[in-house]
Amino acid sequence: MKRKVIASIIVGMLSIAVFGMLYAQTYDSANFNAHARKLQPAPTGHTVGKDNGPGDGLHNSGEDCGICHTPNGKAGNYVFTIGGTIYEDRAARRPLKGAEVILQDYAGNVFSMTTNEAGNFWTYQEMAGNPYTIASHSGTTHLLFTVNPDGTVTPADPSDSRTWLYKAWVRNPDGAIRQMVTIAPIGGSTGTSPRMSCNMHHSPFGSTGAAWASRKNSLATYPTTSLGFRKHILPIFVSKCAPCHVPGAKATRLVTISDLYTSATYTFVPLTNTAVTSIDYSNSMDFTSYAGSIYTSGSTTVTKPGIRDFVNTSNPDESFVLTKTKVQTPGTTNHAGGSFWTTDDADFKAVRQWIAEGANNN
Amino acid sequence: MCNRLICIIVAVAALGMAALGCSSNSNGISGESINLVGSKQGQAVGFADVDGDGIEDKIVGAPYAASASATGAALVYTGTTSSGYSTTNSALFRGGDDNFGYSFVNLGDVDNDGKADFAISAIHGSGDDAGDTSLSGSVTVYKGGGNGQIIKKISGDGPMDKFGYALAAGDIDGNGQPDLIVSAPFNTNDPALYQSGAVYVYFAPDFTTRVALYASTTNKALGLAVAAGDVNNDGIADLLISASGKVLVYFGGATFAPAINSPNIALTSAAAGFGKAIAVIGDLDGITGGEIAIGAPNAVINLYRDTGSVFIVKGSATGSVALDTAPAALLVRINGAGLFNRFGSSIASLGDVDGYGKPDFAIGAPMADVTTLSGQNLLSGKVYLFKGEDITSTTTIANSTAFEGLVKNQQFGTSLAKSTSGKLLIGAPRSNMDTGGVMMVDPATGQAVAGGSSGGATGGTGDCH
Repeated sequence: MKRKVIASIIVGMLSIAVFGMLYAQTYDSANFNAHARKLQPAPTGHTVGKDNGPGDGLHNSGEDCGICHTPNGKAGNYVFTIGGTIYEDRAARRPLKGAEVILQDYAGNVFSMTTNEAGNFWTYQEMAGNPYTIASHSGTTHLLFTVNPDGTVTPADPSDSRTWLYKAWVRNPDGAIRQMVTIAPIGGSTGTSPRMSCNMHHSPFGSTGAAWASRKNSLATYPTTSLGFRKHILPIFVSKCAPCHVPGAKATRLVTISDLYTSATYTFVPLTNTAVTSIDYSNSMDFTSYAGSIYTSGSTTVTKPGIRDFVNTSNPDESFVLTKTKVQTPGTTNHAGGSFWTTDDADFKAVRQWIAEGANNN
Repeated sequence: MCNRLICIIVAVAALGMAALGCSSNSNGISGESINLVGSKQGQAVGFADVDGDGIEDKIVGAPYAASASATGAALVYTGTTSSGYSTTNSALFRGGDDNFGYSFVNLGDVDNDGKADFAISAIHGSGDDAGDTSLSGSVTVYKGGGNGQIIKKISGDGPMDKFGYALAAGDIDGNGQPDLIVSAPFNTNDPALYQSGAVYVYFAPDFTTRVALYASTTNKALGLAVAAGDVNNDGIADLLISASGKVLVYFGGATFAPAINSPNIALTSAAAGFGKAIAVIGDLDGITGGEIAIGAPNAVINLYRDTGSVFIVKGSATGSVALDTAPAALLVRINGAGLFNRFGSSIASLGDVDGYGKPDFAIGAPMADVTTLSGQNLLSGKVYLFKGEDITSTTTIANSTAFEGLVKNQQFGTSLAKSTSGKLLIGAPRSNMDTGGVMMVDPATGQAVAGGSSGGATGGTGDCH
């Protein structure tokens, strides 16, 4: 059973890699979807912070900016197209100054903002949207545009900010990149629809935890030997690997029209097939537990291997959990969730040592 | 009836750290500089006699105070015989754990020495023992009058559970010693209930024995608020916890073994954010039982989101009660004043401060705007004082006295605490670029009193205590 799970994961990864090689060589409106953009390198060549909004913006870090900075909101004269807060870590123990938030829209335009002392970033810049959008949330598809009986679609209202999607990256001041796995919705600059901010979900007390960029170590210190799984290792994985690698069904909230086509042949798939309207960004892994988890909801059962299934006690340096997430050349990554550490970082060393000691559930 | 009150903020240019001495139980970090810019002083507030001089001291949580080794602090302002408090903090509790000072509770006298003991949480703290989970959150119980002496430190089940997010105290098992209630709203006890929360009751005096309530399919999102108080008038404190769209009440007793899906009372509402603040405020209607105040700070009122609402529920309620249908068990529902005020984010039971024989209470609306001569202070915040004798089925927010924040974005009213002398301490953690501060008022007179403090922007040398 365990071999089957691991084999299926390997096959899945190979598929993603092959798909990436075949279809993600260019990044234009034709492949503006979560699948194709998972490993897209961060755009370069722009002026860092060129789209920073005016004002000091030192208030209400971690709050949903879009509640006030929206047409008819309390700060309706200062409407953001995007805003949010970046922290040193997912727990949001401290805000992070000097991070760069990079967006690329459907039209290929690149936007760059930098965080201030409160970790806040924001912009007023108008952005192009992709009006061909479908939202799927927890397996339920919500149509944000008109779908005709013959399967064709009528574009949504482009002024509806809910249909405006972006690929996003966060660059740590040291150059390491963390990228959003999905194509995310962000508010527009026109119209009257409620604006969104990253902090709606990526906040200290949001469902996914804070948006973070730093390579800050999860714990202040680690012993050099005799590491404990619960005492030292699990906090690292929960801090760095969730919210993606969590138990249960974990699908993207939003995908684009291009996700309605099968990735291999670009054959149109009816909307009733919700499986292709979203991707599982946990990649069927549960890194909140040692042995993985079995999640049952109604007739749905989701089995996910855990941390122990991705370590190599014979050759710790080749452990998947380490190699996948090491910092690559600045601007690139081979992990859809970005890079976490170098071999010199204390978190990395702690995990490696625990693996070398047998990767015990101690 | 909405009187404007100019509250006093006593600005402190720098923190003078008067050493109270390190004991063998010290958990402070000696000689370390802290920075209070962005520290959110006033996220939690409360009172306890820390130094044992018989005078209550003021405690201000600053969970994002920065230092080299950890984040968070609790600042102690020494009570004086002139019924005020020192203007500089005289001690600094440091848990060595991140976001220490996030929540505070005065437990009452746990160890029968005549002094009230207290607890402070660090929502990203760690347990001290080898088998404990790190980064789960921790709660440290301090001995009143013990100058920082620790009675017990406890931690959560899993990393990033945010154990200690909310604290409460009450004698749940009726043994005469107050017990500690701790929430961990991001706990996962079942893969199918990821981050659905847990609430624990740790029993005094040693806080080793505990009862845990974990989320179920029926009752999720546990622990954004917890409270204790005698709802059913049996002389024993009852446990109240928030769940998604619900407040669940479990009656206390000598054998306290609650089942998550079998509360004695289940109060429900579709109002957004229902249960984010809970308090047992005492008898308002003259019928046996202590009334329950429940905040729904995200409630939409007249199409305005996050206006907020507070439900006052009769203590005589039984079984499952759907409050949105205006049942007999609902004494009154009080709505906030306007868009994004988040009325009901905090609630404090004050007792009978005006001597009219009914308990009074305060409700925070930390996102409320304040009109000034020069314009609007957005998100300044307000706290509304309701007199028990004014509460009827037709009470509105207009029947209250409003205390107002002074500057924009300070979120005055985020936290509330009553001193034994009846003064109301109000936290404003977003003041001055999240440096934060507190203000103190006298509900009986409607006047500001000395005791506010904004704290300095930079800290001095941390004292071990």
